[in-house]
Amino acid sequence: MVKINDKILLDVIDLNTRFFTGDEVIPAVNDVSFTLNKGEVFGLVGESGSGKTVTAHSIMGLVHAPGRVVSGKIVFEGTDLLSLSQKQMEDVRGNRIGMVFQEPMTALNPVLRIGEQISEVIEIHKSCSGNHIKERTFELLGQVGFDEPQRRYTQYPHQLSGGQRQRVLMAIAIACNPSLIIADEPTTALDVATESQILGLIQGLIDRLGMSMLFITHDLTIVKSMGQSLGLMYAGRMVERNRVDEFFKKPLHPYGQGLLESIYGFSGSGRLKAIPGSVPNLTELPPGCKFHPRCPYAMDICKGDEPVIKEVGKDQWVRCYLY
Amino acid sequence: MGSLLSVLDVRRYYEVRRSVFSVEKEIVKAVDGVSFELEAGRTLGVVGESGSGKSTLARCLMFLERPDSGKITFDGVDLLNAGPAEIRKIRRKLQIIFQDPYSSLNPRMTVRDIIAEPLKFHRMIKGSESLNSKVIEILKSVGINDDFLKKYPHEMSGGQRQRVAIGRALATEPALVIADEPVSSLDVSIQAQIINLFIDIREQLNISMVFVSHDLNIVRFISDRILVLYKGKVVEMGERDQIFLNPLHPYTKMLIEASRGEFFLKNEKSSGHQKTGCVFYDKCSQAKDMCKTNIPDLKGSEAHRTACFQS
Repeated sequence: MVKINDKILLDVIDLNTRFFTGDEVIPAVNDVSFTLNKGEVFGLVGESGSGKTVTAHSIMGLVHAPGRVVSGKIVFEGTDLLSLSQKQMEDVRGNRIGMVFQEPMTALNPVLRIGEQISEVIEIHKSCSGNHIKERTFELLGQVGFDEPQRRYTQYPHQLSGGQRQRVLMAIAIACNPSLIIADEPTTALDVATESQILGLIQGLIDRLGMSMLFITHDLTIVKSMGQSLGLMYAGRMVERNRVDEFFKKPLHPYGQGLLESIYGFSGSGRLKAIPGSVPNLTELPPGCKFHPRCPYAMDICKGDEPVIKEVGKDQWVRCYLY
Repeated sequence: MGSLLSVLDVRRYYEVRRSVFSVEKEIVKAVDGVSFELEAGRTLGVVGESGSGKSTLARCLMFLERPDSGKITFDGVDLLNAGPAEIRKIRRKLQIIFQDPYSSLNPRMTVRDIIAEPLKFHRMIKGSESLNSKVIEILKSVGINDDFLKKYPHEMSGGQRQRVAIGRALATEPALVIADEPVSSLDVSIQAQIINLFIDIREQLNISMVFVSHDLNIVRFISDRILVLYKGKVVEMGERDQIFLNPLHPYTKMLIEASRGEFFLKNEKSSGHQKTGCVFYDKCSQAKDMCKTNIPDLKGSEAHRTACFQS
């Protein structure tokens, strides 16, 4: 029976993405599942190499050889994106799903004016007149906080600061009124004051335009302020899915607990509570639970079969034998 | 106790061309009149974001960059007027740790050679002591066991590499270590390990440190005093708890809010290049008219100073 839930915008089910390099297979994303409800911000959090960016690229159909999505479903507005052709996917990308990338200098074309780059997206996806497109571009520039849209229209990316470029990327992302925005570390390259402004802008835009967002970051403090739910990734796996308020009260997974303590917590001796060991290489993963060599609660069972992710409360899932 | 390091009104300006074809020059004030004192055994945290001048300041302290004006005194020696022989002697006591251990360690040297090099250069091995056992002892103190002696930097993780870089800095028994964003390139779960190592080292060896970071959370754990830089100027400076419990400058407040995950859109003035007045005017939510035209002085007590008209 197909359960129809019109609250759900994006449903990722058992996604597996692999990279085939030489004679090695790198398991970048393993059985990752999560749902994003309409109007929600979902924070996908993890350290470098945890698979968060590959997960996002899989959703957008941007995994290129030697990588491949090997199994799973990505249901967006009722359609499985993995069943679409390249051509059909192009119609979704930039139109119904907007994207914002980390490095605004490389994401923008250095030889095209700002206005042309925003207009281009509208031109490709919507059929409307040139004048109409230009007006819409001015409107978008205003929406992302530029006070002289006409002047900005004719500027080139190098004439803008990092924060302003990120605003242009936001304008491109929202140009076609998408229902979902995927933002991959949109503020990592920015300084704190600018970051604060951009996050405020993003928050304002998704509230006002009623969009949903998949927010990918390594920074838990951002998720705390932006998201309603979060997914925590480790070694290519989703180890915890939780509501943001619950997570910051007490994370379910020992890895989440360790991360929070290593950012905020002092142990009695004036030392930070660090997670021992280091992030494992994806080609040399330990057996069983991938976190067990660093886990303070590791039991014998953790070295055997890998635990499956299970529901332990409303919207709370964890991949751990403690539950 | 006297100061180990005294920095007085240090300035470093760069001339940059407006654009590739322009003859017009613009002055970038990377470090603009910074002064502070650091007592032996204490740690000063320098916080600021990219472009605040914190790395330029660190480089000035290390003779990697010569200030345009000002005075830096270390252990009683005037650094900017010292001769080559004197500088060589001081270098041993003044060490730096960089952000990226991938590029600060020589990829063609083994861990043993990386640690042994400063020991040999500064003739740190006395009499019967063997170089090898000294190297092993140093590595042990930074949590690296002797299996790693023959390894190359690329065979280690980022955290292990940074431990080796710290070991190399400590090898010459310095009095002052300058750490420029030493954990920024590491994963969050490794950062805490390295910060703990810094805290251990400081306690065991009674070393002074200048700890530079953009991340207030990190500086908080390790510093006795904190200096907040913005666009080359000190906007606030004081004892750690004063800064965290009672921040006075709007910029410091913003940094603290951001480190707690409280981001809010502040009203923004898009005046472009602010030439006069307070350096933070463009992004300040409390700015008044006078902030646009007048530059606030750093005022207050030794325990807590700030440069803001509104506090």
